[in-house]
Amino acid sequence: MTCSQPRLKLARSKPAQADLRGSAHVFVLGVLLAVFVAGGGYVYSVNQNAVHGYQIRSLEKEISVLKQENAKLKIREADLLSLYRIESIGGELEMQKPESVLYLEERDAAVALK
Amino acid sequence: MRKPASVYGRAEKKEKTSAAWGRIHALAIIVFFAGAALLVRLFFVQVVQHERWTALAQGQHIASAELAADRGEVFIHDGENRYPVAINREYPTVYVVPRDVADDERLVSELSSILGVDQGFVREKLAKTDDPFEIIKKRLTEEEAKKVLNLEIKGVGLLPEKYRYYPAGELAAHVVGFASKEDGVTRGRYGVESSQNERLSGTAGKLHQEKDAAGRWIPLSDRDVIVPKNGDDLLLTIDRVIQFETERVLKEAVENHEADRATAIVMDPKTGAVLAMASQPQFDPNAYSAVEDYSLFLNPAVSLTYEPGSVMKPITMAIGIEAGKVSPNTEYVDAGVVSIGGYNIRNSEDKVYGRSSMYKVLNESINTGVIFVEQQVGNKAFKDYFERFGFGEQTGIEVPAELSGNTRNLDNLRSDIQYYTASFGQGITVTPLQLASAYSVLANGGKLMRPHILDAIIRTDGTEERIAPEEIRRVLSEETSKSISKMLRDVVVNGHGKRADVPGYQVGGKTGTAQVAKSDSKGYEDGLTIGSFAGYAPVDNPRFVIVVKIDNPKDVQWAESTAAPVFGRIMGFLLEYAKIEPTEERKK
Repeated sequence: MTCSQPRLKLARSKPAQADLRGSAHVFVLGVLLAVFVAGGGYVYSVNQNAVHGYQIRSLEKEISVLKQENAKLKIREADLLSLYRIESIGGELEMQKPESVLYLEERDAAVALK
Repeated sequence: MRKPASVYGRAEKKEKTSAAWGRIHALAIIVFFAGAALLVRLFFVQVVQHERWTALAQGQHIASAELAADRGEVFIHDGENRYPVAINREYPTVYVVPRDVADDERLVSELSSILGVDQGFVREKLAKTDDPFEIIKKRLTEEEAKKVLNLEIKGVGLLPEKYRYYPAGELAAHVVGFASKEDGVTRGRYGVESSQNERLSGTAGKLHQEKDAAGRWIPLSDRDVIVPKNGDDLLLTIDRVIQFETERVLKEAVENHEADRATAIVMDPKTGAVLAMASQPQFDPNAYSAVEDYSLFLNPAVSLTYEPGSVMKPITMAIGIEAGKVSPNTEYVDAGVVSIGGYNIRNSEDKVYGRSSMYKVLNESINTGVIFVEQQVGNKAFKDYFERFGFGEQTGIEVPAELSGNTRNLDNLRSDIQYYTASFGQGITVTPLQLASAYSVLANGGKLMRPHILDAIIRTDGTEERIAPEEIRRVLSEETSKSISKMLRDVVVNGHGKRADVPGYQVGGKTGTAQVAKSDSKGYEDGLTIGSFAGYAPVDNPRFVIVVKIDNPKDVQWAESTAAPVFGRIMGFLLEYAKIEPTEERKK
């Protein structure tokens, strides 16, 4: 027996084969691209989170510093308002305590004119 | 016929295979038993001794630290605002890491110069090269801290630590007290800092976190945190300006009369709120360690008792009026002396007043007059009323070490002499606060209000709990209160209280010049007196009750010259400060 009978062309034609290979390539490329984009997007997101995290931490530190400054200023305010301190300064400035106090009645009209 | 070589090879192979399997079996048995032993061991370690090894592992891998809670702060009223009188303040502590210091001598010289510490002390700290942390000095000033930072020497650092700070200094020191650190824990020692220590302290938190083999915290590992609960803040009833003026006037009086001590209390009679509680001498709570005599820290307004003397007479009179036994116009005849059980009780300076009304009894401070009132009331009723005024028991004010006074001499109802002497304020002891509280009863229509110094508790979540005034009981009727108020006004106008008067206002009150009991025997000290003045204004609608007590003035003996003028100055200030309009024409 010889192999002279023609082979049945059951396989696709060359152009069809090429089309199929091309589609597969496109599909694979598409998947790769999608993976790349998704990966890139993920990396970007993680990076943004990290950046925001650092910003938040930096702001928290700033808040902490400002709170400390605020506390110091409140202490300073209380020190300055100390009546014993004010009395002492009054003495140094030789301020006089009023001997008598005259109370003026409130009126609707002007109290002092030119 | 010889069998083929392959046959001989197969048989050999079979023999060899059999021997190999034998060795394998033997090995398998060994491995089995070894594995079994291992499993048994694992079972013991992981199941039977599970808890023990877990605890050990946690001890190695888990680090714990206590998270300190912030101590609550204390405020007083300052007009519409609040002024802080006890706060937390950060001070830097300077430390060295000895093994990191390169030039010991330079550091010794610089630190001892900046911080004022001994060079030998610094050298001793630096010599401990195995120790990673040595404290050189605590509570640096800002200037010292800046100079240390500017050194920029490796191995030196600053660590912030919180301490208690009192920005008002001496103001209300006896009321506020102070707190000190012991073993890293801040604890109140005197005053409100002590009595409200639990409320102010809060609750410490805890932090559990994994650590590595070197003992360092692993930042990204799991952590277990119990957040600390900071202490509550407190708002006192004290008014900053009233407290300051009261202290200032009191200090002048002590200096002018060279008195041993002085105390003054200003109270709102309607609510029992203490607006000022001042004593001289004072101390600065920021420098409590400099005080040598610890008795200075005690608050004389609540922790010292004394025989009040004639300031008790209006109480006796009010009892007599309330019991219906006397009225302001009741008269009796004063013979100048009352004799009882071999004792003679005389009037001051042995005066004899003859026919006298109850007005005159108070105006002239007649001892026999109040004895007459007590006799009309009777011992049992007198004792009941006396106790209803709050004498002999603590008021319950929120400051520590409050005494209840001593009224034990009244326990024997048959001992008339004790009752006679108690009627004019001798033989029994009271605190200045009890007197202020009793005079508030006379002023406010007859109700005993609980004195209080806490106005509000401010919680960490921002909510405020106001302390409401508390009426303990009714002691007198409104009519009795009005009657006694008129009589006290008469004392200031016509009696020994003239120097307590404030022009333009209706001020009522009573002087008291009491002898001082001997501490080591019976009887009274020669030449020692305590002058008091207790009163209130305006008499028709009292806003302020004031009690002033001057201990052992050296220049004058009588309270009308010591305590009464102090009362007048404080009351004059208060009436203007509160913008109360005068009700009488101001006369000089």
